[in-house]
Amino acid sequence: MRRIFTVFASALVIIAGLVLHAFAGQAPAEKKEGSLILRGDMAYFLGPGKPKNCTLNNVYKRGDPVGWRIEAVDPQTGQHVEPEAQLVVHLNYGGTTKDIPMRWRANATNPTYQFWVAKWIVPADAPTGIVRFTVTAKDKYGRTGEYKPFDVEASQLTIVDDSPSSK
Amino acid sequence: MRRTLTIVLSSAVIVAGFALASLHVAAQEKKTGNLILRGDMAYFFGPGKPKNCTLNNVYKRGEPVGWRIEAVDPQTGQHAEPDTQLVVHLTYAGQTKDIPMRWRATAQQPERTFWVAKWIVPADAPTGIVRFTVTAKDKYGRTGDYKPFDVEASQLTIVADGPSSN
Repeated sequence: MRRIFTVFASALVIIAGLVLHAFAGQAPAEKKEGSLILRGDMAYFLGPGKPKNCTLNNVYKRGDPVGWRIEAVDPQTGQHVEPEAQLVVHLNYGGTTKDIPMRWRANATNPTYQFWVAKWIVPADAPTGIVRFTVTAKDKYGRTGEYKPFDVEASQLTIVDDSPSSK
Repeated sequence: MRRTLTIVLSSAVIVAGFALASLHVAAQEKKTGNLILRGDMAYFFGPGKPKNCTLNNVYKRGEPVGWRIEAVDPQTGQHAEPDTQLVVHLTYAGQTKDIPMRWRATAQQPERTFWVAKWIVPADAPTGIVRFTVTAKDKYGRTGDYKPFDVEASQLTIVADGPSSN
């Protein structure tokens, strides 16, 4: 009888263990997991009311304001993550990497601007050509993500001469 | 009798274990969540043409609007399978015009891991904003949609044919 009890008790322990193991990956439905997914574009950041402001663009002249607009999306909800997430543009310029922190754009006046922004004025002495960049993100749960523009040369951030409009 | 009971109990434990383990594996392999779409608009003049593939949202009549959208699997962070169906839904002339997208990557350009669609602005198009969305559905039944940022100046916009306005 004692042996039966031992076997039965052992069986219960094993089943309990398997149950715990089986649901270990599902239980934390509210846990923030996965990698952030970043999406966005580049646009002129000439300032509100100025012609061409916020129009999409990737070809800039010296002195032009490059604008990045990036949304960090929670893979579990499909919505943007909390505004305190840290996004940074990493610009490969002048032989070094220049980090430009982004800021959450939405405010009381423009609550629909649910993305992060950063701006960079093309230096007066910038050489012409492509400037590579990436954007990284990290939220308070430790999740990270990265954005790169599509791998198409003509779509990269490009500096052109100051001659009459080349765009 | 006792031996029989022991065997039955042991068998039950093993069967239960396998069942739970397989349930767990099945749950892990199941494709869940919504697809996340990202992308932009660009001129689609064709390879080698000036301005081809440069970002743009302001077009004149006769110009080629190009959409480049990537459907991302939320579980992997990578693009969904190329057989995923993406469609641009254009609100134009009081109707919704559906433009199916196609997977752009080819043997020659394997890095172009996104979907594309093209629309030539009609010669009689009125000036102003043309709203659109993009939807996606993969073979697992997952869906997703894309809208441009809610900024008026960034919408797909048709302008008059005067001297370059962009």
